[in-house]
Amino acid sequence: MMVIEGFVKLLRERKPGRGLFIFGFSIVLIVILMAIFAPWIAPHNPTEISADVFQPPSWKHPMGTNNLGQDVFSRIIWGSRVILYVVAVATTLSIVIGVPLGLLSGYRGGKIDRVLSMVMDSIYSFPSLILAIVIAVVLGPSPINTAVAISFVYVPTYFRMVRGQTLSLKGQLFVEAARALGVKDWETMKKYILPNVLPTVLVVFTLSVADAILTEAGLSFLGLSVTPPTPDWGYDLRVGQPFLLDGYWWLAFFPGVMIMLLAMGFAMIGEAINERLSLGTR
Amino acid sequence: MGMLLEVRNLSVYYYTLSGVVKGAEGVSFNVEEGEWITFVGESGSGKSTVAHAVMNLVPSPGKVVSGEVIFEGRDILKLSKEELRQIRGKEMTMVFQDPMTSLDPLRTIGDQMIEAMTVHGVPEDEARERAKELLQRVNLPPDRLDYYPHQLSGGQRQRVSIAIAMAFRPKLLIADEPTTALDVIVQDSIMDLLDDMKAEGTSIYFVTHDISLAVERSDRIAVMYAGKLVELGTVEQIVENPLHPYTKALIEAVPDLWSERPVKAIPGYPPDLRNPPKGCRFHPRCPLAKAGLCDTEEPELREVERYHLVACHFPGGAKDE
Repeated sequence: MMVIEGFVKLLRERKPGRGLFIFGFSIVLIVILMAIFAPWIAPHNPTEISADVFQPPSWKHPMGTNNLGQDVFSRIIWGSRVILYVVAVATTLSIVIGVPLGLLSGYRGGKIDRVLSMVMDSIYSFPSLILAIVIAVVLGPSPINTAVAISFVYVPTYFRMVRGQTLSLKGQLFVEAARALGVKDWETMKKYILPNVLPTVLVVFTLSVADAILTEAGLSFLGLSVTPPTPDWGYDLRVGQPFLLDGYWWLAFFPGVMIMLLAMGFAMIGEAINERLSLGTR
Repeated sequence: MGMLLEVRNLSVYYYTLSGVVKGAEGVSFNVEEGEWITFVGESGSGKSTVAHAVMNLVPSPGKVVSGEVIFEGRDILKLSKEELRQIRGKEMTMVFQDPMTSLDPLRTIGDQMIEAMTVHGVPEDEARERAKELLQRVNLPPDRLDYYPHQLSGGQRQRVSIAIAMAFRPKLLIADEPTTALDVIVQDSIMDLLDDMKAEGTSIYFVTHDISLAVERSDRIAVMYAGKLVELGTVEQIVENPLHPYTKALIEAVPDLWSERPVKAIPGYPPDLRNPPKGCRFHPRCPLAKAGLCDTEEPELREVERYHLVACHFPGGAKDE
């Protein structure tokens, strides 16, 4: 609820970050609407093969057709479903795992903290894309497995941030006061520390979503996400890439632009929120 | 009057990266039922450390290395987490130095007051009623329940903290410099509230660096220096007849508007507690220090008259020199 109120505030108030937010939010909103209403918007069946191969953009095919004669525009619209689904599952998973572990680690300290921090730091020390590729290969190509692979990579980001915040909040007088009143440990974590950590989780969330989109696109570019003929931006980008030299630019261009726009949209929202939150504390 | 709290030989060390800081060493004292005992001393003298140890709330990297804290016959330092939780807030409670940060900024004060009661099993609607009464008792309108801490002034917030502390009529209230962050007028009203609690039978364990604040309302005063308890006595004994040179210096350092007496500062600095001075810890700053005795032999805390304890080789001044 607080998040929605915050969004409304960002839209309404004329303060730094508003322009960024409106721009980023519109892009993301359009993609989300595309995904929801795909069956109604898409002019053609995205998987239907036809003899009209390599048609340049026209009124009938706004983004042209690909090597199998499928309508690129319809594939773009349907493809938004896969990428949003994977990214949503992946970030939810990494928040659900990373935030509680970070709270526990920071609040309890001691052995639990040392073990968890070591595990998280070792995950963090891997190049994220390579780690995601390895996990996706091991799990096998499917959207849900891609989501798991991506979430694994982002758990340490949330963990480290929440742990750090918890450590500093633990030293705050009001947390000590709660203990002096006889509030239970897990209640202290839930009621006193978690709400104070959430704003930062939100910023990390929006910034890492942008990153997760690129990772998802990368994985499906490598064929580790969907199986053909399911429309997917990363996969379509790869399919179109060999035909670039033949002058059929629209096969790779449109999926590429969409991936870039969506990542940019989320990054802008994150940046706008970050700007506003730090404005308040400055 | 019966004994409420008995602290025996308490030592608390802080294990910091730059060495072990001996925050408090070998501190022993009693708190009687219904009395007001005040701990005075400079910053870093260990007065807050001891207060936190009594709640078993020494912040990390601090650790209680030895000693006992007997509260109503039970050693606080040996209780399980759950037993401790049940005592804290109900039997003994604490009011902190900085009212700006001792309340959660994201929750209304009512929410926090009610929680203080529900964690000890009071039903929520009853807790709400009681929270209103408590606010009135500390002279705040009951509608403040729905305010966030940032909407209140420092003094009002400290009143809220005290209202929370009053919720169960605790046996012991530890007030760790509750007035330091407040101006003099507000300070006085807070002290009045503590006095009210005392009148209802709560023992007040008051920590301050301002000895003049201690004199008016306390029954006894304990003076700490460099982690050691150096003098303990009734207010009259401490004020009329301070036996430790440090206590004397503290009293002389209080400015007096109506006398010509100059304010005397205490020369030197408090010692580095990672490596406290040998012998009496006050000897490098002490006008009475005698080489060969004070810098080698640590004076024991001993009773020189009834209720009056002091740790000094020359209590009351050098007699033989």
